[in-house]
Amino acid sequence: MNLLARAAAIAWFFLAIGCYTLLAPIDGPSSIGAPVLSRSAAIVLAASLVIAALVAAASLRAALDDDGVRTARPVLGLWLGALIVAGIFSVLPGRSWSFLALAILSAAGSLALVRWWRVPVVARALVRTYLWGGLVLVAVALLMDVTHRPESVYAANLGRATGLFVTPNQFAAWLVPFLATASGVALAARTRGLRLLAAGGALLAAIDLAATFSLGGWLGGCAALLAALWWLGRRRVAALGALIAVALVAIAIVNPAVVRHRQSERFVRFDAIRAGMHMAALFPLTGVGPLAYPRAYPLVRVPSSTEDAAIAEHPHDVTISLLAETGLAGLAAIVAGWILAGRAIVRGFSRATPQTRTLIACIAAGIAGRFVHGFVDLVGALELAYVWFPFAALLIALARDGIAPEVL
Amino acid sequence: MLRIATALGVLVAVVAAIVQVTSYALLGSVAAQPSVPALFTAAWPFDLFADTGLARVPAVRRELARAALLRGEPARAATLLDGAGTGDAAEDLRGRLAAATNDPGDAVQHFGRAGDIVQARVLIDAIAERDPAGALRLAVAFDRATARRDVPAAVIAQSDWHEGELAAAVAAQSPATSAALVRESLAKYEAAAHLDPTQDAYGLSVGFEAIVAGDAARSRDAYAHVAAVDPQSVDAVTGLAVADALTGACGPARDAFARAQALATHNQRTLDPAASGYGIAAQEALRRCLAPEPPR
Repeated sequence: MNLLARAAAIAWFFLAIGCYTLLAPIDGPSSIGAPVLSRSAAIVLAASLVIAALVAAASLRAALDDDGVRTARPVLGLWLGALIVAGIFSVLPGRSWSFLALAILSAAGSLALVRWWRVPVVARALVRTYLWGGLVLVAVALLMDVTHRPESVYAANLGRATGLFVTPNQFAAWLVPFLATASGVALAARTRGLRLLAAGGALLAAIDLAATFSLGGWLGGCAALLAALWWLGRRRVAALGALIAVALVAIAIVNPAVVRHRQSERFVRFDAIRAGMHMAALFPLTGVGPLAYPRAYPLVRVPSSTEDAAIAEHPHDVTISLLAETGLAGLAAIVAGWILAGRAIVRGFSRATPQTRTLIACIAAGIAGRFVHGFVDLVGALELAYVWFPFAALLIALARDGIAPEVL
Repeated sequence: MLRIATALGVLVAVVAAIVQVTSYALLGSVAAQPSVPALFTAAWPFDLFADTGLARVPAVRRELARAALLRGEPARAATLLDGAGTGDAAEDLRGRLAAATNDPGDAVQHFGRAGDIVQARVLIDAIAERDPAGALRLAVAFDRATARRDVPAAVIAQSDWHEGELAAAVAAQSPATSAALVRESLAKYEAAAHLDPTQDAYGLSVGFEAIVAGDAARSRDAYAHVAAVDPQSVDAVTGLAVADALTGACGPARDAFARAQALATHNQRTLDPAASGYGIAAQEALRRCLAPEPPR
C-alpha cells in the first residue's frame, strides 16, 4: 500500500474519531442541543472515518508481530474485550453491536497508529492534519459565537459556544485534549511554521473553551493545565491553578445563571449519577451493555428529578457510565488496560528526549483533563473506544519511538 | 497476599453474577428481544426472596414490586408495596400501581408525594385530551401533594407552570368561570417564575396571562424581567410593546416593537413577533400606537 495513502488514512482517522460527537445527527432529531451539521454531512463524515479506519486496518495485515503493536495489543485487547463481553449480555444488543463494530475499527486504526508512527511521513501527516483540522473547528466556532450564527443554535445554547458540535459540553470535551496537544506541539516544535500553527490553535481553543461556559469543560481544562505543569516540573504554578478550579466550582454552585445554566439544570447531574449507581447495582457483573443505558433507564430514574431527566442516554459520569454499561468485570479490565498503558508510557517517558517528554506530558494531561470533565459528563463506552483507544495508542507510540526530528 | 486478593475477586464476581441473574429474571422484560437478559426472565426470585425472608427488607420489596408492575401483576405489586417504606421510590411505585389499576386520583397523590412530575404528566396529559377540567383537578391534587414533601424547587416550578397552562386552557373553554381561572393560572405562572427565574417560559407566561387578566402593568414587569435576563428574547420585547401600548405609553411601545422586529431577524426562537397571539384589545392598542401620526 502507498505510504502516503496510509499516512493520510491514519491522520484522518485520528482527527475524525476524536470528533465522534459530530456524528450525532445520523440518529435523527434529538432532544438535546441544536445540531449544525446536516444528517447527510454527518453520514459523509462517518463514511470517511470508516474508510480511513479500514485502510489503516489493512496496513496491519503483516504487522501484528511488530514490537510497538505487541505493546499496545494487550491494552486495546482488554478494553475491547470488556466491551464485547458487555455486548453479549446487552439489554439492547442491536445498538451495542453496531457500536462494537465501530469500536473494533477504532482499535484497528489505533494499532495501525502505533505501528506506523515511527515513519516520519505518517507522524508528520497526523500532527499537521490534527492541528489544521482542529484550527478550522475552533476558528469556525469562534466566528459562529461572535456573529451569533446560526441564530437557532446560539439561542438554544444560551449564547454558549458550540461550534459544529451539538452541545457546548461536547465541544468543551473535544477542546480539552486538543488544547493540551496543540500546546505541547507549540512548546516542542522546532520550525516557526509549526509553532505558529500549534500556538494559534491552542490560543483559539482556550478562548473557545472559556466561551462554552461548560463547567465540566472548565474543570477539565484546569485539570489538564495542572497535570501538564506538574509533569513538566512547574509545581507551584500548578497549585495556583488548583485554586482557580476551586473558585470556578464555587461560582457555579452559588449562581448557575452567571455561567449561563438554567436553574433546573442545577441538580440534574446528582439525580443522573444516583440513577447510574442504581443501574450498576442491578447489573453489577457485566452491566447493561455498551450504549444500552437508555433502555433500562426507566427502571432507575430518580422520581423527584425534573422533566429534563425523563430520558437519559448516560449517567453523566464517565466512571459510573462504564460501570453501568460494562459492570465490574468491564471496569476491572479497563483499569488493568490503563495500568499496562501507564507502565509503557512511564517507561518511555523516563528515557525520552525533552521534546518527546513535553509532548507526552501535554497529551496525557489533555486526556487526564477530559477524564476530570467526565466526572460530570461523557458516555463511558464512547469515551473508551473513540478517545482512549487512539490517544493511548498515540502515547504508547510516542513513549516507545519518540518523535522524529523532521516531524517537528 | 495474591491468594487473598484472588479469593476476594472471585467472591465479588460470584455475588455480582448472582445479583445480575436475579435482575435478569425480575427485570429481563425491559431487554430487547432477542437478547441474553430476556432469556432469563422468570418468576423464581419472588418465591426465593419470600422463602429466605429477604422479602421483608423494604428495599428488596420495592425492587420486587417494581418487577411485579413491569410483569403486569398489580395484585402481587400491591402485596409487596405493603411494608415497602414511605420514601420517594415507594410512593412512586404506589403511584404506578394506582395508574395501572385506573385510579388516577390516587396515582397523582402518590406521584406528588414522590415528586414524580414525569409520571404525573403522562397521566394528566392523557386525561387532558378528553377532559381538560378533570386534568386540571388532578394537576391541583398533584401540586398539593408535592407541598407535603421535600420536593426540589425546580420540580414544583414545573408543576406550577403546567397547572397554570391547564387553568388557562380550561378558562378559554368556559367563559362563565374564566375570570377566576385566569387569576388561578396567573398565580401559578408567577409561582413558577418566582421559583425558577432562569426559565424564560415561566416569565413569558406571566406576562401573557397578566394581559389576559387585564393587568398591563403586571405584564410589563414580567416581560421586563425576562428581557433583562435574556435581552435576545423577541417575545419578551414584543410583550413589552403590547403592555406599554395597553397602558397608553405609545412612545415606549413603538420603540420596543421596533427593537423586537430587529431582534426577530436574528433569533429563530421567535414565536410571535407581530403580537398576533394577543387578544383583540391588545392588538388594537398596539395598532393604534404603531399607526403613523397624522400630519400637524
